[in-house]
Amino acid sequence: MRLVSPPGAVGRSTAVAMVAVVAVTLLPLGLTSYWLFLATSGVIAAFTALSIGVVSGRAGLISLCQLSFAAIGAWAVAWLSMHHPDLPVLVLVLAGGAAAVPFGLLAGLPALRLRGVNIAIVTLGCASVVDTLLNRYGIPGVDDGIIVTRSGVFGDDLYYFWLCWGLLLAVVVGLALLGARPTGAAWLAVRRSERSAAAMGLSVPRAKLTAFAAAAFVAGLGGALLVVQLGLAANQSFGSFPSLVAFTVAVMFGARFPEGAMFAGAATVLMPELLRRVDVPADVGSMLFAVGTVFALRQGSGVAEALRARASRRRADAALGRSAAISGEPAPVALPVAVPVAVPVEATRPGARRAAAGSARPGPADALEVRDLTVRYGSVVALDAVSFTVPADRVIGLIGPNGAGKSTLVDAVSGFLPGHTGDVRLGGRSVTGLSAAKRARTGIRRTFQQGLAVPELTVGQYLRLAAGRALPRAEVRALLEFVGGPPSDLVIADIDVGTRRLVDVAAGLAARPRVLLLDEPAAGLPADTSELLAARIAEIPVRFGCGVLLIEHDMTMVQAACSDAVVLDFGKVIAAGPVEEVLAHADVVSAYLGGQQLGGGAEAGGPGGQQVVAV
Amino acid sequence: MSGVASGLRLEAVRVDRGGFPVVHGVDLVAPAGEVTVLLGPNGAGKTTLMEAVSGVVRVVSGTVNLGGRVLTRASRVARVRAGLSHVEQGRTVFADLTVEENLEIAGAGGYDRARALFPELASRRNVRAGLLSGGEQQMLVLARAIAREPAMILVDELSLGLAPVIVKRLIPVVRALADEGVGVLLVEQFAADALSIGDSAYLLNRGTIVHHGPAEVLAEQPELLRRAYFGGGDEPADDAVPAYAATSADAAVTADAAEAATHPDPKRG
Amino acid sequence: MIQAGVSGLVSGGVYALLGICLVLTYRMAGVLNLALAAVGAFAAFAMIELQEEGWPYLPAVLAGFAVGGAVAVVLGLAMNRWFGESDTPTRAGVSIAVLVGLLALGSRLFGGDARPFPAILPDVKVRIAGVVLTAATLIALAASVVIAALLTAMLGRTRTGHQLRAVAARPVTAELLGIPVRQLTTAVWAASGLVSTGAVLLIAPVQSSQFSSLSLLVLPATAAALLGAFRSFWLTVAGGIGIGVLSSLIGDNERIAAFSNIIPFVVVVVVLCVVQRREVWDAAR
Repeated sequence: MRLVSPPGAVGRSTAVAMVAVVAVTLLPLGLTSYWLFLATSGVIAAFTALSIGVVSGRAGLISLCQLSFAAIGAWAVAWLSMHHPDLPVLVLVLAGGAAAVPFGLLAGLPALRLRGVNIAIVTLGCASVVDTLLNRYGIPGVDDGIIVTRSGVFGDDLYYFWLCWGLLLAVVVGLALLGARPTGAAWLAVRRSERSAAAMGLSVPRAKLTAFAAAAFVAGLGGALLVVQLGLAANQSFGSFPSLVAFTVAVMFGARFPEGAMFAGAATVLMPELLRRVDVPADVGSMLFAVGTVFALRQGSGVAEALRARASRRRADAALGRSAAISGEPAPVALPVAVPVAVPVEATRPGARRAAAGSARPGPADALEVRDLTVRYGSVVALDAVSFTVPADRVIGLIGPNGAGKSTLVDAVSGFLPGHTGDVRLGGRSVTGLSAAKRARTGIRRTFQQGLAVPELTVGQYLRLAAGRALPRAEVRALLEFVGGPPSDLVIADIDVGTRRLVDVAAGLAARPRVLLLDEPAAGLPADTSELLAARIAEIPVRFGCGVLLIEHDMTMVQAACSDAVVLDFGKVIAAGPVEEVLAHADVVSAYLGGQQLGGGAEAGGPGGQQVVAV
Repeated sequence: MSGVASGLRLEAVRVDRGGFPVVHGVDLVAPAGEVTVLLGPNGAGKTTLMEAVSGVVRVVSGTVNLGGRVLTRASRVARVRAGLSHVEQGRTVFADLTVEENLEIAGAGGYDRARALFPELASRRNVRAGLLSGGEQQMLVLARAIAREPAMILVDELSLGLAPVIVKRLIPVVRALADEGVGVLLVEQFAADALSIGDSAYLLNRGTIVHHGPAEVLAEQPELLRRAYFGGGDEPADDAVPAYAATSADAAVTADAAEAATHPDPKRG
Repeated sequence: MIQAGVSGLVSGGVYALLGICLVLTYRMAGVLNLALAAVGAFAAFAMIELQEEGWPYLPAVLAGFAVGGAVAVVLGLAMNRWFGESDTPTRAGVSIAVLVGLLALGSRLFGGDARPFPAILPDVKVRIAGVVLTAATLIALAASVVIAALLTAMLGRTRTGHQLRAVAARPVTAELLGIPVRQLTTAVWAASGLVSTGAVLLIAPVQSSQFSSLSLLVLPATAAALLGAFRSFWLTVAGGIGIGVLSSLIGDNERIAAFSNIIPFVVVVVVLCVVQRREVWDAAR
C-alpha cells in the first residue's frame, strides 16, 4: 500500500494548469481586435465569478450583490481618473479594488447574526440599494461623456489584456496562498460549521468579514478593470439582475476554484456572442445558465468541482490501493500496523496507574476542573451540579445512557452554552467567562460526534488550521501515524466518515491542548481500528501531556483507553472512579440495562457495589 | 403461523449512510401479536434499520415485507397506509400543537383506543405538547402512533431520557398492544425491560444480527448481551470479558430472569 | 402627506400579499421562493397576451390565474422531487436560478417594455375624510388582511391546518403518521402562485409594468416576510403595508425621494440584526 499519492496524479493537474496559463497568455497574439476585446471582457468577468467563489463558494454565505462591489470599484476609478487624470492604470485599478473593501465589510456585518437565506435577502437588498444610488448619482463622467483614459502601455489593448490576465492570476495565487493559511482555510471551516470552527479557536466573525472583504476587493478590481477597458461603464452593467446572473453562472461552474471562475467568465462573454452568431436571442443564454445552475445544484457541485472530484478520487483510489471502488465494503484508510513512532511509548496501559486512580482531586496537575456545572433549558435541568476533574496525566471516560447529558456537558465545557452556571477551570484558572474560540485557544479542544472535519481541505491543511500555528511536515506525519490516520495529502471529502474522526483526533492534538474532549471518536470505525485507537488514546497523556475526556458507548474502548470514568445519568454524576469499579457499580448497570434490576443488581452488588468515589 | 404471515419480514436488508454500509444483510421476522426486541449497543444500526423499514432511509438491497406486501420501494405514506407505524427516537411531538391536535392529525379512528391506553392525557388534552413532561410526551407519541390502528408498530428507544418509573408505565402498554394482535418491533437500550415483555429477540452489533432467539433465552444467556454492550469482539471466549463485568451483569440479568420466573407475566401466551 | 401615505397602501398591500406567500412556502415547504413575483408577473403577462389575442377579459384573467398556479406547482414539484433532501440555502439557490430563467424567458416572450395593463378593477374611488382610496387600494388591503386571517384561522383551527403545521415542524414525522405531505405542499405552492398572480394584477396597472420590475417586487416582499420572521402572517402584513407607506412617504419628500426604496430596506436590516442579536451560533447539530 502506498501512503503517498502517486506523483503522476498531482503532476498531471499541475501540468494541465501550466499549459492552460501559457495558452491563455499567448492567446491574444492570434486574435483580431474584436476577439481580443471579448477575451479581455471574459477575463474581467472572471473576477466577479472569483469573488462569488470566495464569499459563497468558500465561506458559504450566499451573496447576491457582488456586482455592486464592482460598481463601487468602477465608481472609484471614474472619480479618481476625473480628478487625478495622470494616475497610472495599475494604481487606479488597485484603488478601485480597495474602495470596495469597506462596503464589503459593511455588507458582511449582518452576516454575523443572519445566516442562510436571510443573508441572501440582505445582499439582494444591498444590490438594489446600490442600484438606486447609481441611478441617483451615476458613475462620474458618464453623463458628461468624460471617459477614463488608459495611459502608458496599457493604452494598447494587447497589453491591457495581459494586465487583466496578470492581475487575475495574481488574485488566484493570492487566494490560494490565503487558502493555505488560517485566514482562508477558516472560511471553509465556517462554511462547514461555525461551532466546529470556533472549537478550533477560529474567530467566526473575523472569518465572515474577511471573506466579504476579500470578495469585495476582487469584485472591485473587476469593476475597475471594466471601466478602464470601456472608458465608460453604464450603470446597468452592475444592476441586481446582472448580479443574480453572475451568481448563477458562478454556481454552475464552481467558481470556488480558479478554473471554475475562469470558465464562468468565459461563458458570461462567449454565450451571448455565440447566440448572436446563430441568431438566437441573448435571453436564451440566461435561460441556459439557469438550467445549468439547477443541474449543478442537483449534482451538488459545479463544473470545476465535478472535474476536480474526479481527479482527486482517482488520486485517493491510487493512494489507498482501491481498485476503482468496485467493492461496496467500507474502504477506510487502513491503520498502518506497527507504526514507527517518533517518541518512545512508555508503559501507558491504564492498569499501570490504576493504583493512583482514586486520588483525583483538584491540584496543580489537573488540566480541567468542572465545579457545580448546571445547564437549564427552560424548566428542564440538563446538567445538575456536575463536578469532576480531568488530570493532565489521565484519560477519563464519560459514560452514561443516551440523553444523560454527555454532549451537553462537552458543549458547556467547550463554551457553547454561555448560560451555564458553575465554574470551568483550566490549569487552575477559570475560563467560565470566555467564548468558545477563546477557550479553544486557552487549551480546551474538542471533537464533535458528527465529525465536522472540513471536507474541502486536505488532511494536512486541516491539521495546520486546527493547530493554529506553523506545523512542520514531520509533525503532521507523526500525528497522523499516531492516530492511524490517512496520508496528509488526501482531501477529507474522499475519506470515509469513521476515518475522518481519527483526523479530528489528530487535529485536536495538533493544537497541543491541555485537555482534549473526544466525543465518540470511534463511531463508525471497524472493530480492529477502534481497538488501536483506544490504545493510542491511552497514550495521549504521556505523549502529549494533555488530559483526555473520552465520551464513548463502547465499553471495551472505555476499558482499554481510560483509567477512570465518570457516569452521568439524567444530568447527574451517579458514579465516578476507577473504570472497573464504576462499571460494576449497581447504579451504572441499572442505568445501562434498565431500571428493573435496580433491586436485584444492588443486592448482587459487585466489588464496587457500595463504594463509589464521588469526585 | 398467521402471525408470521401478517407480520414484518426483512430479508438481506442492507442500508448505507453517507455511502458506507451501516446495516449489512439483516434477516428479521417480527410476527403480528408478538413483541420482537431488537437490542444492540449504540451505533449498531438499530435506528437505521427501523428507518429503512419505514422508508426514512433507502434500502440498498434486500426486501421489506409487511403482511405479504413488499414495501421495499414504497413511499413513506404508502407504508403507513399498509399498516406500519414508526415511533421515532426522541419524543417527536409537534410541540406547537395541543395534545388533542397531535392525535387528531394522525387519527384514523383509533382515538378512543389511544385515549383508553393513556387516561393521563385526557386532562392535558388542550395543553400544547411542548409543555408536557418527557413522560407525557412519550405517551402522546405512542398514542399518536396507536391512533392510526397500525398492524405493525416500530418503537425506537421508548425509554430515552425517561425516568425508570415512566418506563415501567410505558412498557406494559407495548405488551398490551401485542396481545391485541399488533406486531411490535421494539428497540431499547434497557435490555432487561425490553426482554421482560419480549417474545423473541435479535441482537444487532455493527450492522449484523449476531444472535436471535426467544427473549427468555437471551435473558438466560447474559454473556451474549454483555459482550455486545460491555465487550466488543466476536471472540467466544469468556476470558475476553473482564471478570468484574461478568459478575455484575450476570447478577443483573439473572436476577431479572429469576424475577420473570417467579412472577410470570399473565399476559404472555 | 396623508394622501401620500395612503397612496402607498396599494403597494403595501401587494407587498403584504407576496410576503404572505413567501412565509407560506418557507414554512410549509422550506423554500425561500425568490422567483415568487416572477411567477405572478409571468401569469399576468400571459393574461395580457391572451387579451391581445382577442380573449374576453374574464376568461383571460382566469387563464392568467391558472398559469400562475400551474407554474408554481411545477416549481414546487421540482423542488420536492430533486431538492427534497437539500438544505434551505441550496433550495434558495434553485429559486434564484429559476428567477433568472423566468426573467429571461419573460423578456423573451413578452419583451422588455412596460405593457399597459388594463385595470383589473373598475375605476372606483372612495373618499373618506378627504383622503381618496382607489378600488385597487381597498382590494389589496382587504385581500391581504382576509388572506392572513383565513390562513391563521385555517392553521389554528382546522385539521388540514394542523397537518400543515405538523409538516412544517417535522416533515418526516408527519409522513410517518400518514399525512399526505406531498399533496399538502403542492396545494401550498398552488395557493402561492394564485395569490402572487392576483397581487401582480393588482399593482401592474398602477406601477411601472415591465416584466423585470414586477419580478423584483419580491424584494420588498422578502423584507416584509423578514419582519414577520418568516412565521407570522399578521406581522408580515403589517410589515408589507408599513414598507409601502414608508416608501410612499419618503417618495413624497423631494430631498430624500430618491431613497424611497432604500430606507425601508435599511430599517428592516437593522430591525433584523437587533432581533437576531442572540443568534450567535449556527443551528446546533
